Amino acid sequence: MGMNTDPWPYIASAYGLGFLAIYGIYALLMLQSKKLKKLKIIAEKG
Amino acid sequence: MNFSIWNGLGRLLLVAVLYLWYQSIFVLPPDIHQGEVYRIIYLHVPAAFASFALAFGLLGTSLYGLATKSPGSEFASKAVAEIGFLFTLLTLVTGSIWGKPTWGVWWTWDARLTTTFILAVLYAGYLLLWSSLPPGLGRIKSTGILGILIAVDVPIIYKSVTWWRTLHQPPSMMREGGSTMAPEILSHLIVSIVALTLVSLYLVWRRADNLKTEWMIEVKTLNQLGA
Repeated sequence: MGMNTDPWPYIASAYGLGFLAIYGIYALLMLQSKKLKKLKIIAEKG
Repeated sequence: MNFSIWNGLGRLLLVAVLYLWYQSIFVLPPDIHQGEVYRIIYLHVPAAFASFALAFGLLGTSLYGLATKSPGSEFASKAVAEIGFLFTLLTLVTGSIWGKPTWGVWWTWDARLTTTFILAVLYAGYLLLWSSLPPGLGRIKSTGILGILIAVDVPIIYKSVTWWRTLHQPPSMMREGGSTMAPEILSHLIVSIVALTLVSLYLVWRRADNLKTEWMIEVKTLNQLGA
């Protein structure tokens, strides 16, 4: 089962991508939420 | 519970997942057959479980939308499909990264891989359909039917390894006669599955909230313009 292959680059790639996907989307959602809060205040003021 | 308490719990979960990953990578012992590379399953299996759970979530929001015609169901469905798509892609990519050192190939048209790929295509199709239709009853009906069809793929993915014996290993967690996994590995995997599924639900909730706010701003602006 691929015992001669160094597994750590694969492990690091998988978790690195997992981190980017989950925490990246979380960061984008937080930024979007902040932007929308500001826009909501502007829309309410008219 | 109010918004900030739920939000605080969600953030706590995100930190808990990082701690679980630390344990998965550095603390738990290597697998007797696969060695160190098996550590990827602590991300791959929970991501797959979350993507399946979200497909059932989409079934729920679709049925609710078809029954009530509520605009709120549209935001919930879109948020579920977006996060479901993300987790399905993560499942495919981490599976592929695990497959190269284990099977010797990045990808093969194995039954489990193909049916999971179909799930990703269905999620993408759902999002395309949602974006291409104007808001209203027509969109609730069309996306609702597709949302139900997406959930049908999940039991096929689950049973694919027993119906068609190809490269992907048969179930090792839920099988007749009990799991073949070491108790230490199994318990950590179950905790990781629960944690990542809850994180996926938290992301869905935040996205649905943003979509709802966006819609409210649009309605207010249109009212002020007298449209």
